[in-house]
Amino acid sequence: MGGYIIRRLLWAIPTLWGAVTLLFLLMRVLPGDVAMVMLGSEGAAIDPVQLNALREELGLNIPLWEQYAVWILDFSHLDLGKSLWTGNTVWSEVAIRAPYTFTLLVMAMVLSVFIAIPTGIFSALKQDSWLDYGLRSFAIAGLSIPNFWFGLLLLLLTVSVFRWSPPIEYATIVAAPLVAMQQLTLPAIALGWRQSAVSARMMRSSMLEVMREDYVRTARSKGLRERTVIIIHALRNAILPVITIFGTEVLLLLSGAVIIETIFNIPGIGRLLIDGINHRDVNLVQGLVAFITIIVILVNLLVDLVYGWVDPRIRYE
Amino acid sequence: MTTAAATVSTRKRARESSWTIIARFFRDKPLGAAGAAVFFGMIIIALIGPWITPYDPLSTDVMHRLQGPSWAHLMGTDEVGRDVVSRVILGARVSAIVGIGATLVGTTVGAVIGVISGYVGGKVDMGIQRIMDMIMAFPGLVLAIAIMAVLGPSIINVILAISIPSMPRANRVIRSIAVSVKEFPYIEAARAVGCRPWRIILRHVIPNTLASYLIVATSMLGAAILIEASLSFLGLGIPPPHPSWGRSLSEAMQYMYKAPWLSIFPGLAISMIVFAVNMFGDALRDVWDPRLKRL
Repeated sequence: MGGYIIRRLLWAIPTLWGAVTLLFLLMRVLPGDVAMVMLGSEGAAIDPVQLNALREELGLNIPLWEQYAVWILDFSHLDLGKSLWTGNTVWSEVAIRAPYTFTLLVMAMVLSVFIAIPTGIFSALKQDSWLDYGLRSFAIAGLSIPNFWFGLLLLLLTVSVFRWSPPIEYATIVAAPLVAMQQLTLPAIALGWRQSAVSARMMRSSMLEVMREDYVRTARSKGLRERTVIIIHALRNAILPVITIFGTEVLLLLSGAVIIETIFNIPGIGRLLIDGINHRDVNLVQGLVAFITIIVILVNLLVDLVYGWVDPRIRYE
Repeated sequence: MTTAAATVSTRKRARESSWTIIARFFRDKPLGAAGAAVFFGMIIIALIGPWITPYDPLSTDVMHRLQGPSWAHLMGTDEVGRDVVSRVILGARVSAIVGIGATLVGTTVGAVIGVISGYVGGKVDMGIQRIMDMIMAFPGLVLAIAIMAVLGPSIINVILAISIPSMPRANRVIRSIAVSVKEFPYIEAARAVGCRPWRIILRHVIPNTLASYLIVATSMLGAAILIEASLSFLGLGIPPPHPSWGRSLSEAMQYMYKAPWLSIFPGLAISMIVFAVNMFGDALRDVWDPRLKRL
């Protein structure tokens, strides 16, 4: 397992470097002038002096390779740059906002796991029953209804039925854990329901497959209790595909968080990204996207490690 | 004469067989066929939209603002008195143009690079696949947001912002087909008679990937429509006053208490189209290539 962990860790470094390079290229090489966009012109006359000053400030006047060298050198020191709008470093902005986003993401994941795995298993064990039909409809709805609409509908329901509206100020998980979790429950449901639908569907189909395997029949014929057969024998193999899609689902959760934070007015990283764009703060946007990429690569690393732990065959590939 | 008659009869058979395929599709995959019907219905509405809207979707009528659904306004009116039905109908245009445009660009570019990557192999393949890995390290919407931040709002830019994150998926599928097709004996034969690589790619490899290309394209269409709606919802899509479903929803948020119907209909339209397109894509994949089931 030790060698496997080291191999995976080493592989994460070139991936991160590549992703950050790609981000740089997208932000600089695409046919668009950041400085022009920031000055808000669509063909209207711009003061060339102002444009030049802004390009200078953004470091766009030096050759591209030099810009890249500065960017990658800063990044290797984990310097994500400075926001033009607030004047603070991207890290200090992230430090303020991250607790909200992480609480939201973790709650959404926990909720979805607690919903997805039991429903997937029960649905597979009771194939073609009403429960099964119910779950399949839920999964299809989960895939089709956009989370921002689902979030809006949830908000509409709570506002009109329970007279509850989102708080103006959110508590952080560090200062007041219970209050923070209570406040973020509804947004977490809005965010996590799609993932729970996807995972439940995957859990169901892989459980159905595993329950027909010979070794499950053998376990049964040994006279083991059904519960032992399911939990000890079937589940360990059936859960593998669910772990695999977990990595890609985290990507979708992060995308979803941007929208859910906007709807529920949560001051997280997603909201900051949108605020950054509205303030035409390209530095902040670039730094935040780089930060999100680091998180994604770390999560994928973690998923790979868990995968290697659950299925020892993977480690020797 | 005989040859001409034979050609006509072959053509007729070909035509019959394609009708038979469509008929079989409707019989075996009713949900997929219904999805296709809804999707093509949306394209027709997008095309003839301006001629069938009951009111001008851009003209305001402050005297009749925030009115609930009625016979005069089936889906009510918005905060400046514009008819919601007309705006939903015209919103189909943006969704259709951006959804189809981004899918075509993303899938085609991804597929072309995939064919080259799979056929050429070696270091070129390795390099291209690592670039695709890197694009996949970004959450799709976040990358689209970053691209929109650089490009500024316009319909072409939205299409570009959605198509770049969607390239790797088409690339992976088409590459794997190109890799297996490359080993077929007739490709070897073509190489042996001295065909140039580009000719082999154009005449032999690409035709083999067409079915998968269409499957990947339909499976990505739903996601493209959803990302467009999300970008518009965040205020980064097509600039106003042109109506789009995502922006209508974001505007509706301010009037959630007074006018809940504004939050319902555009969302219903997005969900219905995405559901229909997903069902159509799934059915097409099951009929054409069940091997791609885990796509």
